[in-house]
Amino acid sequence: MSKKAPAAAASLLRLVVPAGKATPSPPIGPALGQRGVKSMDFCKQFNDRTKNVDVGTPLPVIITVKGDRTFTFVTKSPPTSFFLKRAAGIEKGATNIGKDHPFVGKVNLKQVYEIAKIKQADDGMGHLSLKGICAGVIGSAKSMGIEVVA
Amino acid sequence: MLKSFTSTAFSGLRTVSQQQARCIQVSARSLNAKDDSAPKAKRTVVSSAPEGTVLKGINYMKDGKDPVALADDAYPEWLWEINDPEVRNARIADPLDKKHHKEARRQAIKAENFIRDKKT
Repeated sequence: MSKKAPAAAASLLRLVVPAGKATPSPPIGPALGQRGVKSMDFCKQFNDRTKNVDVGTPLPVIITVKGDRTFTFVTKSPPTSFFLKRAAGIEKGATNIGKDHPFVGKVNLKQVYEIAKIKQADDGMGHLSLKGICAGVIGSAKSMGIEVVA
Repeated sequence: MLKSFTSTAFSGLRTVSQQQARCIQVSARSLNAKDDSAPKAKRTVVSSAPEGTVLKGINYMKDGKDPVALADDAYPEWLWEINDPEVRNARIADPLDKKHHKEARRQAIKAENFIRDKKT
């Protein structure tokens, strides 16, 4: 959840919000309030836009707040770690990783491929080949202590 | 032990600077060298998820379903190589490949840092 410095009149806000469940004060309220945006407005629009998504799925959002306090936002696909944990059937990633620590879960290459296909649809991935995105997913898996098998 | 390490480090540094000077020539050669004149080896990797397995945890839309695994052949060839350490090591061993030089450079930097930290 990082906040970029205001560029000209607009400022960017990056948050991860559970689909269909926006509003609570801690994550969203203060962040938006600081920029003069009513959190209820954002939450209504967000929940409306994400009504087709499984409730509670974490979704990264990028909110652009203009000088006149109007805002637009873009929703992206859930974080890769979310997909990997579900595919491996685990709640949390590994506390420690490396050759002295066992893996905490396992995913296969076909699951990696499907995850990469979903991620490919994101705006930021336009320059990457599907192979490149798969390599990224495998890298994330390894960082989480999830073994990637054939 | 330190002596042998030093010689490796310095030879690595010398080689790296030469390699960097030739990197344009080398990468051009690598690009041209990608003609598959030799027949490709038959894929030996068999997926742990045979055709028809439901790939759980992928779908996150209310009206969607988890994707079903296709036959191994339906997936692109690179998918089976991407996690294969042998393929990666072959690339690192091949002096025409960019990976070879990146790895050599990486090892040279590690060696130099090791020496530098030893001195201070």
